[in-house]
Amino acid sequence: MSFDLKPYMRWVGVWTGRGEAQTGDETYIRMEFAASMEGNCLLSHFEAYDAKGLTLMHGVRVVYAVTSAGQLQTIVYSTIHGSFILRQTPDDEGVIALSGVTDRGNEIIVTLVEEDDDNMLFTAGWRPPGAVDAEDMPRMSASLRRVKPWKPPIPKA
Amino acid sequence: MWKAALRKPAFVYYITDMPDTLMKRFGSWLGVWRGPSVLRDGRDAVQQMEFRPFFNGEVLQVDAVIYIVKTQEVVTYGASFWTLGPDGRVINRLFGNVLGFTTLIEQPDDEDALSMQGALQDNTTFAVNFRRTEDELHFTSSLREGYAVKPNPPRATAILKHITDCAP
Repeated sequence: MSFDLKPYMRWVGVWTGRGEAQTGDETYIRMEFAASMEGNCLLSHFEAYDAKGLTLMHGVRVVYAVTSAGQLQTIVYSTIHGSFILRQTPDDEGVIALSGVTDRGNEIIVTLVEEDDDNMLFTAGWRPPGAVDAEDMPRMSASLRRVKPWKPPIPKA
Repeated sequence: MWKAALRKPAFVYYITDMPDTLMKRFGSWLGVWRGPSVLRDGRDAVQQMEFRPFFNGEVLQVDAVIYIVKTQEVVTYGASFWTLGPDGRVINRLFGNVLGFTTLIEQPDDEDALSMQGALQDNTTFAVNFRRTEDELHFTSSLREGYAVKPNPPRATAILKHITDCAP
């Protein structure tokens, strides 16, 4: 069955949250989704900062598109892993699960799980060449929440 | 002086602080380019390309769209990430609605030219060439079928100009 990217256009917007980096340190995450190529592609821009928000620990930019064979694939640039292509791994609706291998041979796994309209669970991990055990896989995970602009309280009459 | 400043895309000022060699090479390409194109099947079209840097110039995102002016029909669209490999060659991770996903690698060429090519899934090779003049970007692309290199495969061509601010 062909992957349908359109339902995921509802993710368009800015999502933020705090999570745990692969080093175990707390990170502040900002993820922005945007429609691209006249709505035929989805684009995401991910930034994970240290707890103070001063150092970019990891930046990732992704373009999501569906191939003529109906499979979701992405081109990716990561400030840690360089550029590579990720392919869809089968999962439930409301989930984007991707995997692939970088030029250095690192296996990359990314999962985005929509919990409800305003909450998303993000998990990413990578396995160096030769590593077999799951414990060898550095991971980052975070609960992201849709950003809605703050409004000043309406003064009571 | 003010007019001259207006005619430069804003990116030109931004990139001067970027130390990365990718930006040293392509910093003057940043921005939007547009111009007439002739497709591989001979149709006239317009091609637009946008070059944007991210992560302090570590990567260039290059978006392209080709459309027929008369009908406003989009013929081709695609996005790509350009980086430099360990050997200094450009690595181009590409998605195109016609081509699908592929990786293009820089091939040896003249100093003022950038040639990249890569294999597609159906035993074809996709090749692109950019040649930069002072104010134009000359673009050609071709698809070669099979392993035999045909001398003159059908090419799409475009001559693009930098879109700049209006100078009154």
